Amino acid sequence: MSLAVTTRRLSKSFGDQVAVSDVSLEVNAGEVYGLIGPNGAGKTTFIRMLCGLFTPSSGEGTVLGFDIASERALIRERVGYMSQGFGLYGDLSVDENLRFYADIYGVRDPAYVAAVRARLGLEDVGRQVVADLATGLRQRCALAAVLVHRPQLVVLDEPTSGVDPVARDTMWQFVRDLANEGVTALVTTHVMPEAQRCDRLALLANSRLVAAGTPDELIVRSGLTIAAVDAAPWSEAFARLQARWPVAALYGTKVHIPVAGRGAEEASIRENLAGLTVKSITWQPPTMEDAFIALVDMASVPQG
Amino acid sequence: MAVTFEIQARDLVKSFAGVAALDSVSVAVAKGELCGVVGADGAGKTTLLRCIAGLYRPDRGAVLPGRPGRDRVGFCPQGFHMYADLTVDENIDFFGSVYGLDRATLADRRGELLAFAGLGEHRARLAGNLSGGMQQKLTLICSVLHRPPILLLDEPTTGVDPLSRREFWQLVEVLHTSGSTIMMASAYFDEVERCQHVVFLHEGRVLADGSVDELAPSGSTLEATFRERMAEGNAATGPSAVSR
Repeated sequence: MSLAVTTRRLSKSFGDQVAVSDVSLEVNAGEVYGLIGPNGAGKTTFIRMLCGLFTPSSGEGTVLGFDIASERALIRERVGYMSQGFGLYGDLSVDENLRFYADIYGVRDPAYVAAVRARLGLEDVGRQVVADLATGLRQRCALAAVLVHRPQLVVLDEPTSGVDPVARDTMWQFVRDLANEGVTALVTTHVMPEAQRCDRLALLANSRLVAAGTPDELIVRSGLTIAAVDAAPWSEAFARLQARWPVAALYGTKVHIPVAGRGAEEASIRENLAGLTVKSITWQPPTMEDAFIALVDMASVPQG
Repeated sequence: MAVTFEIQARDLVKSFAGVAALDSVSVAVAKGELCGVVGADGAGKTTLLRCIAGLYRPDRGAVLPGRPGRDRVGFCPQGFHMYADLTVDENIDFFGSVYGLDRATLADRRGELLAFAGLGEHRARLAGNLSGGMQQKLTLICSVLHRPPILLLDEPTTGVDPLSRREFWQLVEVLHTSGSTIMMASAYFDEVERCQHVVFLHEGRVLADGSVDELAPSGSTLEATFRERMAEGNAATGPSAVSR
């Protein structure tokens, strides 16, 4: 299988501030690959090195077979980069924005630009000024703008931030369709149910790669099971359980506690609820968000 | 057991320039309940919260037992609405004076809320320089300075990372378990799963209203149910809102 992106010990510092440290990963061609991590983890810096916008401080990488340090121009021709906040001209119309992007990439194929516009369902709003569009339409326009030059890799930095559930779903369907056509997608997101739509994920924290794998692999790697405790009165149950497990969270009137495995700490949970009515304790797999938090917490335990 | 409703809206209608943002919306939130309102952009979430807060006067329908009034409601708007060029402390001073808190009361609550939100060491920073998660927490503590029994949160975690989201929810849980009645608008189904009471809002109407167990029976998800109800609503021609 060919690789769309490879990095080896890729690092970037700004002055004495380390933004990305020793990140090695591989993205297969035609894959939807997610980059997740807390704010400040280095996701955007990492992406910008791949797109040739930042020069690495050390380490190396390739994008579509080209070297990220010495072959930036070749990479830029083949990559569509959608930055946070979409990077459109708000005071220009949809058509004017698409024409602008086509021009800077030297695309002389108005029919193809029109086809991209149609594919993203923007025919009816071509003349509308981008700033007046609903966020979902603006987001589709931004995606159209990075597709006009037929990129082989699209890099989408928080493409669904501030966008509603229906538009988010539409966006992910487009990304999946592109991947099926062989266009690799590298996507960052803070929304874990969305991250689960990726084929594979890399989790960055404190500028380092903490874990990489399929969403299910990361969930397994977290080592967690969620104990869902249904007890009455729920407020008292929650108060007691949270005093013992500070990470306990309230879901409706049930208390969720991340534990090390099915049945783990059940005795202790029941002991802490002595005198209350325990209706049930059920065991369920953690969500992607539970796994994210656990893996980041594990990685931030001081070493040495 | 008689249920006391802290928030009641009945048949709310609100249009802007002839377009209905709310089309006969009724919701009732019991005292001490955490209620999540989920829907897409344009579903009417913000309009509903603003009508309940008394910031908008509905065209028809009523908020019962009458507009709750500023001292009864804390409103945490969507986005960042603090003064970016003032410090954390100065923002708290400002909102304290808006709510008419005296100096001693403000000093007490400031200490308490800064510790509660973990912002104590950031009090001298400009609000505009805080991270997104910290800005949301500052907005939250400024909206509860006057200890309102009702708290309205409009998409408070949009755009923040999972760690900040967890911290924000820990604060909401404290307010919830101490007895506040909370209504939160959200665009995330996994988030409203944390609520005792969930309202699906779509194109200005209530699609469904109930507990998570009622709306997502085992084997189903809130999102799947939402889509089903949306499809049913689109297929029907007459009034289609399902409401309890």
